[in-house]
Amino acid sequence: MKMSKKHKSISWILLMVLIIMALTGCKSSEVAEAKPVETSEQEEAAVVKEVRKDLVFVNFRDIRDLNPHLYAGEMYAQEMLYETLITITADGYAPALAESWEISEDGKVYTFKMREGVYFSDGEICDAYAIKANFDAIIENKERHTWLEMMNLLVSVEAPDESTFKITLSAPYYPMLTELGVTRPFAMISPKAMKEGHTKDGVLGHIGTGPYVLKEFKIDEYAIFEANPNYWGEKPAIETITVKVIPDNQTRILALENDEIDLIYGKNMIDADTINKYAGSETMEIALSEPTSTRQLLMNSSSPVLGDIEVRKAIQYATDKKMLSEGIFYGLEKPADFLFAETVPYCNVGLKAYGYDTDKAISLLEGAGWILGSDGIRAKDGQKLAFEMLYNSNSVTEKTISEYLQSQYSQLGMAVSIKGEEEQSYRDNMKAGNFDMVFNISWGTPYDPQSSLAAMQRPVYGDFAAQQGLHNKAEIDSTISEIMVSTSEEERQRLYSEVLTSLHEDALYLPLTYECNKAIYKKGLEGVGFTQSQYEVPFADMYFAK
Amino acid sequence: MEALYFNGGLMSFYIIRRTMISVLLILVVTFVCFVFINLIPSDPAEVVLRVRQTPVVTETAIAEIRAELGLDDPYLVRYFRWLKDCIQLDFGVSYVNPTRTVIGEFARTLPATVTLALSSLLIVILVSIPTGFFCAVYKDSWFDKMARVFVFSTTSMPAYLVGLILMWFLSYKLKWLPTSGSGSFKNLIMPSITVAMTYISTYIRLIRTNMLENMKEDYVAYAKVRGLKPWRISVLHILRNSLQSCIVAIGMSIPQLISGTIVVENVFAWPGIGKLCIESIFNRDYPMIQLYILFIGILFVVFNLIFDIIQHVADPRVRSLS
Amino acid sequence: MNLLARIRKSKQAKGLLLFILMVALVGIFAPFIAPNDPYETNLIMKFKPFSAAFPLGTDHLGRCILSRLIYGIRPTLFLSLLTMLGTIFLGAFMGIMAGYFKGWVDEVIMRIVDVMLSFPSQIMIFAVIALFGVNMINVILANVFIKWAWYARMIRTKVLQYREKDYILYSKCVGSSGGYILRKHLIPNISAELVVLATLDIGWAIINISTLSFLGLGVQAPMPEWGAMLSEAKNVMMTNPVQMFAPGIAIILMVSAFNMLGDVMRDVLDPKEVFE
Repeated sequence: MKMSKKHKSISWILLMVLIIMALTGCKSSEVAEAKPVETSEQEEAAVVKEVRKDLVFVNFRDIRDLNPHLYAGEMYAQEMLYETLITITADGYAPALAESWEISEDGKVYTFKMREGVYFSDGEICDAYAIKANFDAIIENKERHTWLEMMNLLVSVEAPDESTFKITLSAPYYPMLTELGVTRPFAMISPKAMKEGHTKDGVLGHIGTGPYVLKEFKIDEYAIFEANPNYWGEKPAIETITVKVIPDNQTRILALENDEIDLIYGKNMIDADTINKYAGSETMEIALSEPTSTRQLLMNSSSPVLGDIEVRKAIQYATDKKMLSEGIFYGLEKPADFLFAETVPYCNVGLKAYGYDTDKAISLLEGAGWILGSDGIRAKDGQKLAFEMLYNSNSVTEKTISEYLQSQYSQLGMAVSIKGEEEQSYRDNMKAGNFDMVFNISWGTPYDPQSSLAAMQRPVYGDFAAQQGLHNKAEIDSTISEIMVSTSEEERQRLYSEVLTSLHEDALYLPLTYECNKAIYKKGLEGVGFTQSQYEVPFADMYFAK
Repeated sequence: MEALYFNGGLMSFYIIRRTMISVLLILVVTFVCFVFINLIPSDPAEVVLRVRQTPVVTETAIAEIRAELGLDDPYLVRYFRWLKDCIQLDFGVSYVNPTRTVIGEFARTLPATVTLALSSLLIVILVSIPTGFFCAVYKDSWFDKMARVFVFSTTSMPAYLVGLILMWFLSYKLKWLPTSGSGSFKNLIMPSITVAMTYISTYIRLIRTNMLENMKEDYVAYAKVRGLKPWRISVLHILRNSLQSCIVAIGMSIPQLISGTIVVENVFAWPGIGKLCIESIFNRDYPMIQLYILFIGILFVVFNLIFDIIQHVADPRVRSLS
Repeated sequence: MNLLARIRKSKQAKGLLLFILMVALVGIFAPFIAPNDPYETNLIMKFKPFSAAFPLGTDHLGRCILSRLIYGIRPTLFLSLLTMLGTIFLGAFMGIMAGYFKGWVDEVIMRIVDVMLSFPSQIMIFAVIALFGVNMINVILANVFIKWAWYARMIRTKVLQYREKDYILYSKCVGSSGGYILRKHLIPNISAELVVLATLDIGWAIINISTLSFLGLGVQAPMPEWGAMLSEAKNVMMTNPVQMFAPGIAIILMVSAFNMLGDVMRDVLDPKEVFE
C-alpha cells in the first residue's frame, strides 16, 4: 500500500499552514500588545536623568463609561476629567468653575459668578451658557438623580448673561452646595460633546475642563490620561497617567513589586495582609487615610427570616467586630458600632451600641421561638434559620469576612450561605432587593449623612428595598424629607436623632468596621494623600522626588 | 481514468452527505441553545425594561413589551425568528451591561482566545512531534521512559494546578513572568504552556504508537533491504507517514483547544471568551453563555466536517471503507 | 473471567487498591482522625505554620489545614464515585437497551449518543451548571450527562457481541424471557469490564469536580474540598505561598493512584478483551 505523493504533500502543506498560522498569530499579537510597554520602557530610560513625570496606576476594572451625568463610570477618572461649580475641601466649600456665589435671604436662589477664561479641552468656552446646557441635560433625566433631594426642590436654572448662573429652589435646602459639589451628576462636559444637547443616552466624547484629558482607552486593558495643557488652575506635576486593569489582588502586588505599576490605591484594592507584609519595606511606602465610611452588612427586612427583628438583634449581638478588626485588618480598621461614626455631622446622638454577647444572642433567638433542630440549625414553625450573604467578589476582604461570619453564625444555629458576585451584578441585585444580607458602605464625606439618608427614600442602593419590611418605613421617610428642608439647626439635629435612633433600633444595619482608604506605592512617589471624597484619587498632588 | 472518475463521484457524494449531516447537527445545536435561553428563570421583557432604564416596572409595561417582542407567539415561530437574528449576528445585549452587545463583547474577546489557542497549538506541535519521534526511534531507552513518566504525570494533574505551579515557580519564585492578565508577550507564555500541557501528552502518545505501527509495515522492511540508512528511513518514511494521521488529529483538536482554554483563561485572567463565559455564568448573563455554547458547538461540527473530508481525501484506506 | 483473582495476582493493583481504600477509610472516619474541627475559625490564628496543634498549619481563617484536607476526601472521592456510578448506570441502561432491542430503540438512542459525542464535554458541564445553578447535585448531574453517551456506545457494542454468543442464542431458543437473559447472562458478563472502565475514569471525574470547585462553580464554602482549597490558596499566593502545597499534592496523589490503577487493571486483563 503506497500513498500517492499528492496526498502526502497535502498534509505537508497543511502542517506548514498550521505552523505559519500559529506563528503569525503570536507575532501579530506580540507587536500589537507590546506597544504600550515599549513606550513606557523608553520613558523609564529617560527618567534615569530627570524626574519622572509619568505614573502607572492600577484599578480592578476599567474606567467604563465616563459620561459625567450618569453613574456608570469610575469616579476617580471622572474627577480627573471634569469639574463642578464648587468643590468641597476639608475647610468647607471652595470655588471651582464658579468664582464666587451668593445665596438669597430666603435661601431659595443661588447665584454663581463664573470664572473667566476657562475652556473645555476641545476649545469650547466654559461660561454660564455651557453650565446651563449641562443642567438642562441633567434635569432632562431627573428621575435618575432624585437621590439628590435638590432635584425635587428645583424650580428653574437660568443664565442671564455669560458670567452669571442662577438656580432657584422651591424651598431652602441646607445641603444644596454639597450636592452641587459632588462629582456626579453635576460635573460639566463640553456642550459640543453632548448629543444635540442630550447626555442621558451617551455622549460623543469625554471632554471636560479638568487637569487631565483622556488620551487613549482600551476596554479592560488600560487607559492613558495626559495633563490638560490649557488647564486654568495649577498644572499637575505628573503629566501622564496610565491606568492598568488588573482584577486580581495578588497580581497587582506582584506588578507593583516588578515595577510594572507605581501605585495601588483604594478601600478594597489592598488587603491588610499585604499592608502588613510591606510595612517598613525598603522599596514601598504605605499610606492610610482617616476612617472614611462604615463597612456594614445590610439586612433585608422583607426576607422571611431576617424580617424578624429579634433575629436581626441576635445577629447584632453575635458579631465579634473586635475580632474582625484585629484578625482581618490587623487593627487598621477599627470596629464600628453605628451606621455613621459619631464624628460625622449630626451623628453623635448618644446611641447604645449592641455589644458582642453570644449568650444574649442565643436568648433572643430562643425567646423569639427559634429552636435548635437536630441538624444543628434553628427553626421556627418549619422555617429554618437560613439566609444568604451577598458580597462583592471584586473586594479583597469581603469574602473573608463572609466566611468568618458564616462560621460564627453557624455556631449559634444559623445556616448562612455566601455568594460572591462581580461588582456590577452585585449592585444590580442590591438595588433590586435580591438579597437577605448584603455588604454595604456608608457613602462617606461629603454624602454622609444627608445624601445617604435621602437615598434611602428611593431605590438607589439596597437601603430602600431592605427597609420595605419595616413597620415604620413611612415615618422614617417623612422624617428624612423634613430634615432636608428644615431651616433651624436644632430642629435638624432633633430629626437626625430621631431617624438614626429608629434605624439603630430596627437593627437593620450591622456596622462592622470604620473602613479607610489605603495606598501602597513605590518609594520616590510623593504627595500621595487622601481628599474629602473617598472615591477620588488626588493625582494632581502627586509628584516624583528628585 | 474511468475508475478515478467513478471514485470522484463517490467522493463528492460522501462530501455532500457529510455536509448535510453537519448542517442538521448545527440546527440541533441552535435549537438546544434556543431551548436553553427559554428555560432560564428570567423574563426577557423585564430585562428589556431594565435595559431601557424604565424607572417603574408595571404589569402593563411588561405586557406591552411581550407583545412588542412577540414573546407570546408559538415556540417554533419564535425559534425561527431567533434563528434569523442569529444569522444576522444579532444576539442581543448583555443582561448585566446593556450598553454592550453580546456579539461585540464576543468579538472583542475572541482574538485573545484564538491567540492563546494557536500559541498552545504551536507548542504542542513543537514539543510532541520531536518527543514522540525520539520515543519511537529509541523505544524503551531512558528518553522514552522519561517521556512516559512525563505523559503520565501530566494526565494526573488538573490544568488549573499546572497553572498554579507555573505561576508559583515562574512568577513568584523567579519573578520572570507576570502572574496573570494580558498586555504583553510575557503574559501569553504561562497560559499557553498550561493549555498545551494537557494536549502534549496525548500527541506524544499518538505519534509514538503511530510510528511504532508504521515501523512494522512492509515498506520499512523493504527500505531496510534496499540498504537505506536507519535515520533516513525513520525521518523520510516513517515520520512522514505518521505525521499524516497526527495532523488530522491535531487539526481536529483545534476546537478542543479553544474550549480547553476556558479553565486556563480563568486561572490567568486571560481576557478571552472562556473568561467571559465563566463571568457570565456568575452574573447570570444568559445571552453571553448562549452565544458561547453556540459558538463552540458550531466550531466542533465544522471542524469535524472539514477534517473528516480531508482525511477522506488524503487516506485511501478510509475511503475504501465508506 | 475472574477479575478479582487476576487482580489479586498483581502486586501493583493490590498496593494501589490498598492505598485508595485507606484514603477512603480516612475520609469516612474523618471525625475520629482529624485533629481539629475543619469549620472552626480563629482569625487570630490565621496563616500559622506547622505545629503540634495544627500539623499542616492554618488557612486564611485560622482553620486547621490537615483537618480540612481529611474532610476534603469526602467530596473529592465520594462525589467522583457517585458520578461514575451514575454514569455507568445511565450508560449501561441506554447501551443495553440499544444493543438488546435494536431497531428503532437503537436508532433513537444512538442518534442522541452521536449528538452528545459531537459536543465538547467541558462546555456541556458549564452549560448544565449555568442553566440549573451552582450546587453539588448539578455538578454530578453535569458530569453524568456528558459522559453517559460514551459508555452507552461502548456497552452497546459489547452487547451486540454477546448477543450472538451461543449460550444466549440457546437461552432464547428455550424460551427465556428478555429480562431473564439480560439479568442472567448479559449484565454479569459486561459488569466486570465496566468496573475496569470506570476505574480509568474516576481520575477524570476527580479532576473535573475539583476544577469546577476551583472556579467556584462546584462545592461551595465552607465545605472543605481540595480544588476549593487551592482556589483559596491562590488568593494569598503572594503573601502565603505555602498554602498551595497540601491540597495540590493531595490531588496529584489521588488522581495518579486512580490513573495507575486503571493502567494496571488494563494490563491485568487482556486489553483486547476490554477494548474492541
